[in-house]
Amino acid sequence: MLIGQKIIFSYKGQEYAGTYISSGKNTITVKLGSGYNITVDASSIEIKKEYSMEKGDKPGAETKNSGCGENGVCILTTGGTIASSVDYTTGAVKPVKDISYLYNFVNNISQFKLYHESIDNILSENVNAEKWVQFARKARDAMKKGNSVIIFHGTDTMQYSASALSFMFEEQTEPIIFTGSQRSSDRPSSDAFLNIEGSIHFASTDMGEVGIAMHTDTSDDSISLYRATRARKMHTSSRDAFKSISEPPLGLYADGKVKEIKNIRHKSDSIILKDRLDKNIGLIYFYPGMAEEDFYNLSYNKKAVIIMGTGLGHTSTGIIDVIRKLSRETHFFMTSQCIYGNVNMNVYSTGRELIDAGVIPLQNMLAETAMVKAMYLSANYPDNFVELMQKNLRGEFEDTVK
Amino acid sequence: MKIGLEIHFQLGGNKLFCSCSTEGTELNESFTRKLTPVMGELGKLDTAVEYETIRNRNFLYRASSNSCLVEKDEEPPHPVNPDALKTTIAISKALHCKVLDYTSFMRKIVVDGSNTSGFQRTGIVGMDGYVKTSRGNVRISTITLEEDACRKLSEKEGVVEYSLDRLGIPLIEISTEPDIIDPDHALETAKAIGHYVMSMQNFRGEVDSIRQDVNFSMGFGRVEIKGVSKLSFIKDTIEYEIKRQSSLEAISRILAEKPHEIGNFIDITGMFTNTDSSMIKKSIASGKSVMCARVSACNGLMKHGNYKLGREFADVAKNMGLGGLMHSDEFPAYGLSDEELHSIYSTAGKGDNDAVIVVLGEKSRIEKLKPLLDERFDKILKMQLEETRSATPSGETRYLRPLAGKERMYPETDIPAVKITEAIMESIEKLVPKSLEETMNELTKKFKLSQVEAESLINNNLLSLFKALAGNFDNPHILSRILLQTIPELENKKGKKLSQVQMVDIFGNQYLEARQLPQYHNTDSILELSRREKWDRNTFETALSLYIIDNIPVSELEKREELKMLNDNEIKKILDELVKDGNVTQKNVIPLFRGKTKQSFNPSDVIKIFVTMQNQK
Repeated sequence: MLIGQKIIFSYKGQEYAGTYISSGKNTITVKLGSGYNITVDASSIEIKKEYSMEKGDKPGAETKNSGCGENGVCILTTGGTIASSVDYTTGAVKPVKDISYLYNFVNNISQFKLYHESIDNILSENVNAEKWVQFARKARDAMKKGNSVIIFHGTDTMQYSASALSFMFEEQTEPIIFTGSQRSSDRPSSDAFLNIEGSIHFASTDMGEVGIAMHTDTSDDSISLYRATRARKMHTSSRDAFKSISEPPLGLYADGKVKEIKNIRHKSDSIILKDRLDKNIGLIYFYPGMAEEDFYNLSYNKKAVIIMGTGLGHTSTGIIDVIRKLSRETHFFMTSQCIYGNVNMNVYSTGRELIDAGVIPLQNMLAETAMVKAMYLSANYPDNFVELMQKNLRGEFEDTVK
Repeated sequence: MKIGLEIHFQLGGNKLFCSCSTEGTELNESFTRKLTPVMGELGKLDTAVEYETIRNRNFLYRASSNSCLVEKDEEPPHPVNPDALKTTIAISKALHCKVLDYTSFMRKIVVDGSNTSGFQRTGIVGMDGYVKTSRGNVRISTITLEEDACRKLSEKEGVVEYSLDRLGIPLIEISTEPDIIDPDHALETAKAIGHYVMSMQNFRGEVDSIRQDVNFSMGFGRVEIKGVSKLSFIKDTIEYEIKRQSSLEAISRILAEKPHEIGNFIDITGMFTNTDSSMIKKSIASGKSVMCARVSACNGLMKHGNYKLGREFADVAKNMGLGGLMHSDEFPAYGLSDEELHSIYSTAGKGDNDAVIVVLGEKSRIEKLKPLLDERFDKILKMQLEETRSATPSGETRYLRPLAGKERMYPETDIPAVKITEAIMESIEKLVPKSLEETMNELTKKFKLSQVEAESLINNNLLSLFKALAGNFDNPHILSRILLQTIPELENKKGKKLSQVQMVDIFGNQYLEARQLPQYHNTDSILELSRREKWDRNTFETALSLYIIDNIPVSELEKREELKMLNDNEIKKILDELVKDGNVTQKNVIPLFRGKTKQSFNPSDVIKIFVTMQNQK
């Protein structure tokens, strides 16, 4: 049977008419005339009649990728909840290629020339360094045609992707705004519509860096703009999951306009994209009782390792010995699992021992940002790697931002 | 005539998709949202959804102590409340339904803001049963388990305010086929179905815990009437609807031979710079416009005898957030002068047979009104009256929105289908509620209650409480009297219903157990005091009065003189005094005795002791 096919079936001694929706392992799901789906054991149902498919029975066909034109806002979709809808075969949320229907539902954007290009169809947990390079190249192509760029991205790893592009673009001629949604756009309460609205308006400012635009709080009344390198997803499910860590948001969109925008890097005249990344970088979350062997295995042969230490930046004594052995080959950097606040390795003896063993503290840089930064620097500036890791390049150090 | 019912029953305990309690209070915290219309599973926009889009409202939600991120639509739903599911299965069995192998929850799109998510989660549990009535079986089409919506607090200036306290309360919806014969039969059917749910321990039993929708048709399309709050209103509501549709039929017949149309709206705000009409003055002062339009051939049909075309139009305007719609059949009213009326009529181009409507509100909203009025007029003339209406507290009905179709349903992907296993089916066997007949038998035979007492307990939703507490009373009549008379009388006297906290103070954890609520009561209840002190009925009632009327806390009741029962020695002592005073007989001993003490006593004991004393002499 085909999805959307009308059938007549009997179940527990009674006949029903319905529309075939899907089959599970031992189950079958049928939509009744009332619109309700019922799921029953496949063995308990008998199909009495299958009608042939009529025109218009099929769920909407996908439309083609329209591609980006010139001097407008180019929306690049990569997948994620913001570009997802229900998959009726599995009942799960799946990415869609066509986002044109969104345009009808977003307010206050008629003055913008919008383009859309679907560049991937990927859940954000599957995004990796190759994808970042691909996204960056697509963003460069769009900017070359005079477009500002909005990237629809799954929220789970959006901060990594946004930071990666932030480092890779040493100069950019247009804003690049990442946005996503915590409620899929097939639900009336989706946050996608306002997030997109705000992103389009931020994309028309003279910002020359990479930002993340998401709900300010739970209400549908404002969108905050965060610096890519200081943003972090801080809640699994709420609309205001993204926060700017130890730095105020860069901008606010409310009441139909960008209300304020500050502390931003402005547009450049040219685009400089460094599209190489070194994947041989590690990120290790230290925990009490962590086996030295495990730490060794995770660090061995890495170009650099970002440690998320406890408190001000600590690990156990046993791990310090491992670091001492490996630090001739591998650079170790310290961030804190506290998320907020600076690393300070001079307060306790453990910190001083770690420095002695070769660990370099990264002040208040976020661990995820540090990892992405290391990937960029190691590939492009191997000679000044350690020096540049400690220098503020894209606002990744909060107190030296300007 | 075809009548069907959809009855909704709230369950108490926890909410359907989170562990919040069904009971809670409002908080000050609030947030605002907008809802965007989206397409259904088959890629189409539902008409009801489309209609709501035109209204373009903002929603303000007030959080409550019994709400969490699930109600705020900030977190996916948790697994379904197993007690609510079991109760629904038990009721499905009692109503002879086929219980589905799986319960699959759907999202029913509702964009009037009453659900923060923009949809209501609902799943079919049972199908194709029946309920017995004196006039034959009424078939049950489906029994669904769904989440209740937000409680509406207010609506003004395009903003609707809701409380989250009701959102997510488990709701059982029982829908019948249109087998009901007339309004009386509808009432009987509702009672018969209601009995099964109300005998369940976790039926919520608050004022708004049962809501009925009536599906009605007399050949002009199905009208779904939402929210008939009381059983007794079912009859009134159907009778009102019969009258309304008959009158519209008469109007459509009158207009069949005449040319008729609603003219364009003309802005006449400028006409009222010096008006005496305070309503219009106020409206213009707040920046709104006055517009009028001619409705040809409708003079005398807007509001005259049974004809109420004006109200049909006014309902549409009201739904658009427009304060009011006035019309020529009610003029001169609203403080309009003859002169003003004359210019309104000439501007609108009113002929003798025409009517004129006048609307106050934002110009942009009034302009959106015209196509909706045309549509309504057309529907009436063609007598295609299918739509969703709401029941008013006075037993009337009002236009709510177009009838929603199947396009608004799509699967709730956050909740996997729940398998109804054999183990679940076995565990609900003992929960399956008895029929009304069987329950009456049990109450009259086992507890020896009268027919009247038994019926009152059932009708007042006191059955499960009575059964849970009966073991504490030597005589079940005393309990039924306390529940059916003493407490309601004291509530009347106080002018307030007892709260849940007060009920717990009176009956202790057994009340919570009977209502399937978490048990928290650690101190004495009045019931426990009564058992310890061996109070008789009078003393128990005195204690209730002290607690309810005089606000004496339970902890202080023990010290009260009037609640201390006199023992035999104490009784003898007082009688000795009375005998000494002289003139005491078996007839006057009780009033005289009462004059001597504030404490409680059992009159039959006093008499017994008095007789013994007399005999000893």
